[in-house]
Amino acid sequence: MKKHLLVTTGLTALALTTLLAGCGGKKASATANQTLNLVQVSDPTTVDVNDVRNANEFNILNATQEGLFRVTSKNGHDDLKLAQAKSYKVSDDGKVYTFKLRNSKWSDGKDVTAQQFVDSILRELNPKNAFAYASMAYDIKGAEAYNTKKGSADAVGAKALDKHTLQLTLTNKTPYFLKKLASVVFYPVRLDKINKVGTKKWKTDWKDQVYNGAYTMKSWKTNGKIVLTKNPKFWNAKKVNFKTVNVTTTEKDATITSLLQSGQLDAVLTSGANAADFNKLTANKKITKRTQAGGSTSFVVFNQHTGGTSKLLKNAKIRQALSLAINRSAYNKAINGGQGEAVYSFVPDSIDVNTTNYHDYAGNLLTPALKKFNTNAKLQQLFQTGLKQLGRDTNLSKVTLTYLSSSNDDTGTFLKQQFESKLGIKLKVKTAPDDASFIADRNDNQYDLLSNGWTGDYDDPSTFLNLWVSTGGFQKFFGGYDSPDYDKLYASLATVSNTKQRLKIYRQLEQRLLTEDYGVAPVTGEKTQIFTNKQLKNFQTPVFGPNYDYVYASKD
Amino acid sequence: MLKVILRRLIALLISLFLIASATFFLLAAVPGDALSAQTDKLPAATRKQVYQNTGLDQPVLKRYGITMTNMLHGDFGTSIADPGMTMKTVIEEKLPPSARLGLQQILFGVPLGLLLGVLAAVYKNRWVDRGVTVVSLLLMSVPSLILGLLLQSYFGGKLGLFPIIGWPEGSDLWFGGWAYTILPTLAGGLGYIASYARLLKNSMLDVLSSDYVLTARTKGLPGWRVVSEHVIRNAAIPIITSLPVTVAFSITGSVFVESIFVIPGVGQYFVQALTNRDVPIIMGETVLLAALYIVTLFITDLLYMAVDPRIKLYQS
Repeated sequence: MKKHLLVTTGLTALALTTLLAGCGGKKASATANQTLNLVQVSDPTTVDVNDVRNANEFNILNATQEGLFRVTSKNGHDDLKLAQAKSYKVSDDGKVYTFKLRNSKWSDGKDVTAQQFVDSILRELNPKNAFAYASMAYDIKGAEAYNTKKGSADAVGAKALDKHTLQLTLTNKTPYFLKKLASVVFYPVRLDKINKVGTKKWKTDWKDQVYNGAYTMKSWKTNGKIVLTKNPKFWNAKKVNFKTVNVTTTEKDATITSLLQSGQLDAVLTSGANAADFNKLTANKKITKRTQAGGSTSFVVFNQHTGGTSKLLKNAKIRQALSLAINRSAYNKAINGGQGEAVYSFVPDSIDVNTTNYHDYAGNLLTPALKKFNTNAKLQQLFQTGLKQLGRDTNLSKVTLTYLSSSNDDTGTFLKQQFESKLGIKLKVKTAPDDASFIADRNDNQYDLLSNGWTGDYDDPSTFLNLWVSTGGFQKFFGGYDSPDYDKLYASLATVSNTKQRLKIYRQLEQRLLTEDYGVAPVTGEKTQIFTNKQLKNFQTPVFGPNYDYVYASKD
Repeated sequence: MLKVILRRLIALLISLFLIASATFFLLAAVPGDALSAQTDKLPAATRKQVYQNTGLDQPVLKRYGITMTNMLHGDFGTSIADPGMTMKTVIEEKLPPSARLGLQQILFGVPLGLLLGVLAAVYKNRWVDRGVTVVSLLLMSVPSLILGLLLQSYFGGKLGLFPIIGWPEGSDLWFGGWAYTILPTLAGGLGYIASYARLLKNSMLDVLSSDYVLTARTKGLPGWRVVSEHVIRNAAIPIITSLPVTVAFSITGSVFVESIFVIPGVGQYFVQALTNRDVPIIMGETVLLAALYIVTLFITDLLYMAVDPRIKLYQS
C-alpha cells in the first residue's frame, strides 16, 4: 500500500514538473545536474585577458581560458595546480623559469604554443595598449622598461624556446612569482585573431573569441545573462561535468534571495551586509554555508601630502590618536552589518608566505597600542601632544577635520560619532556627488580623511605592502605615505628568498607603517560567506584572482 | 495636410539638433567622463594613452564637430564604457525585450483600467466605484519596484509558479516563453489599470453631468446607449492625450522592472550609460526619445481630429 502511494505521488510530482517545465520554456529536468546557475553583480567590461580589471572578468575568463596554472583553494587558502603547464623548472639563482606546456588545443582546433604566452606578455606590456594590469608583469626582466617606453619588446625576458617550452627571466628573485603568473593577464592570446578585429573591438567581441579553457561562450546579453557551454577541445574535457553554465547579472539582493530559495541558483558569494538575508535561508536544508577570510582590507586614509585641509595630518601623533580612536568592531557592525571582520593589521588573514600563514606569524600589530591608549583622556592627550608639536592651539573643540565621502559611503557619519565623542574634535563630512568629483577633490587634497579599500592581486604580503612604497604609484591615492626607511626596507626584499627572512621583513614593514608612522588606519577585513546548493561538490573559491572556479565541480 | 506634416518634420529636425547640442554641452560641462573612474589609479602615461585610444583627449569643440557630423550620417559612435555596442546594436538587441514588455503591460493594463473606469463612473458611489477607487489608489501608491519584488518573492520564490528572472529570447523573443513575462507584465501593468481607471472615471463624471447627456436621457435613450454613443466619445479626450505617450515611453523600457527580473532591455542600459557618462549612447538615447516624443505628440494631434472634428491642426 505504502509503495503504491509512493508511486502515485511520484507520478503527480512528475506531472507537475513536466507542467512547470513546459511552462518555463524548454528546460528539461534531466539536465538539471549538468547545468550550473550562478549570478554576477555586473557584466564583465571585457573578455580580453590582457585588459581585465575586476573579479567579474576573472570569473568568466577563468572558465573559458586557461593559463599555466590554476588557483585552487584548500581550507580557505590558495594553492596552485598545473594547468597548461605540464611541468616547470626554476634555475638555481631563482631567476629563470622554464615551463613545459602540455599538448593542448584552442576551440578552433589550433595548437596552444609557448609563443602565444610570450605574445600575451608583450601585448600586456605594450605601452600603446595602456592595459591597467601591465605592472603585474614587472618582475620579468625588461618589462617595466618596455611598458614605460624606456626599452624595447625584444629586451623583455620572455622567450619561446620551442613550440612547447616557455622561458621567463626575472630581474630579482621573486619567490611568489608563480602565484602571480596564475593571473588571467598571463593567459595565452591569439594574435592572428586579435589583429583581424583590432584590440579595441576584441575587448567585448565575444563572438570572434577562441578559447583554450573548459568552456566557450554561447551567448552574452549585457544586463541579462552569459551562457557558457562545455568546450570539447579542452585538454581535460572529460573531467568537466557541467554542459551549461548560466551566469545571470543581478545586483538585487531580494532577487538573489528568491533564486536561492527556489533552487534556481547554485552558489553565491558575498562579503557584504546582504549575507544576513542569505543566512536566513540556511534553515532551508538544501543550502549550505561556509566562511573564509577574504583578500581585501578597508582602511581610513590620512592626508600626508599637504597635511589635509586642517594641516594637521602630517603629524604622526595626531594620526595615531585618530587611528586608535576608531572602535573597529563597532565599525564592522555599523558599516558592514557585522558581516566583515574588525582588523588590527593591514595584510589580510588569508595570505601565506610559502606555507606559513603571515597573519599567524605577525599577529595583530595595533593591539598593544590600543591597550595602552584605552581611555578617551589618553587619546585626547595624544592628539594634544601632536598639536603642541605643530605649535597649534591645544583646545580640541576648536579642531575641525574634513572627511571626504563618496556618494555611497556611510563611514563619515560613523567616524564623526567616534572622533567627536572620544577626541572631542569636530569632523565635517563632505560628500562628493559622483566618482568624478570625488577624484577631483582627492587630487586637489580637499580632505583630511577618506575611506578606501584594497584587494590583493596575489597570495603574498607584498601585494599589500608595495602600495606604501613612495615610488610605487599607488600611495599617492592613499594619503601619500612617504618614508625613506620603508622604501629601503622594501627594496631589501629583492635579494631575499628565504621564507623566514621574508616574513621578518614583511612584519617590520607593516609595523613601521601601522604602529610607528601610523601612515594608514586599517579598520575591517573581508569575510567571504559562500552559500551553495548542497548537491554542489568541488566548487573552489580562491581568495585571489577569480572568486570561484567550477571547472571541475559537479552536482550529485 | 501635407504642408502640416512637412512643417512638423522641419520642426522635428531643428528640435533634435538643439536637443542633441544641449545634451552634448551639458555632458561636457559636468566634471569627469566615461574614463575618469576606471583610469583613476593608472600611471599618468597609461591614462593618457587610454584617452588617446578613445579620442576623449580631443578638445570639446572638436569632439562636438565630430559627434554632430557623424550623427547626420546616423552614426552615434561606439560606446566607450562597453566597446562594440553602437546605437544600432542597442536598438536591435535591447529594444525588442523592452518593447514587448511595455506592449504587454499596456494591452493588459489599459483595457482593464478603462473598463473599471466606466463601471466606476456608471455606478458612482456604489460598491463598484468604491472598490475601484480603493484598489487603484493602492496600486498607484505602490511603486513598480516594490510590486515587482513582492510578486517575485511570492509567486516565483515561495510558490515557485513562475521563473524568478529571465526573458524569452531567440525564436521566443516576440511570441513565446510566456511564463517569463507574466510577473514583469503584472508588475508594470497593474499601475496602468489604476491610472487609466481613475482617468476615465473622472472625465466620464464630467461628461455625465453635462447638458447634452441630460438631453439624451430626457429623449428617452436607454442608459447603455447614452454611455456608448455620447459619453465615452467625449470622455476619451484625456485618454487620447495620455495613451500615445504611455505607449511611446513603455516601449523604451522600465528601469526597475527590467532590473528586478533581469530583462536585457533598453531602460536599464540607458540608465547605466548615464551613470557611466557614456556620451555616444546618451546622445543616441536622447535623440531617440526626443524623436519618439515629438512624433507621438503629432499622432496625438491627429487622433484629436478624429475624435473631435472641431479641433483643427492648422488655420485654413
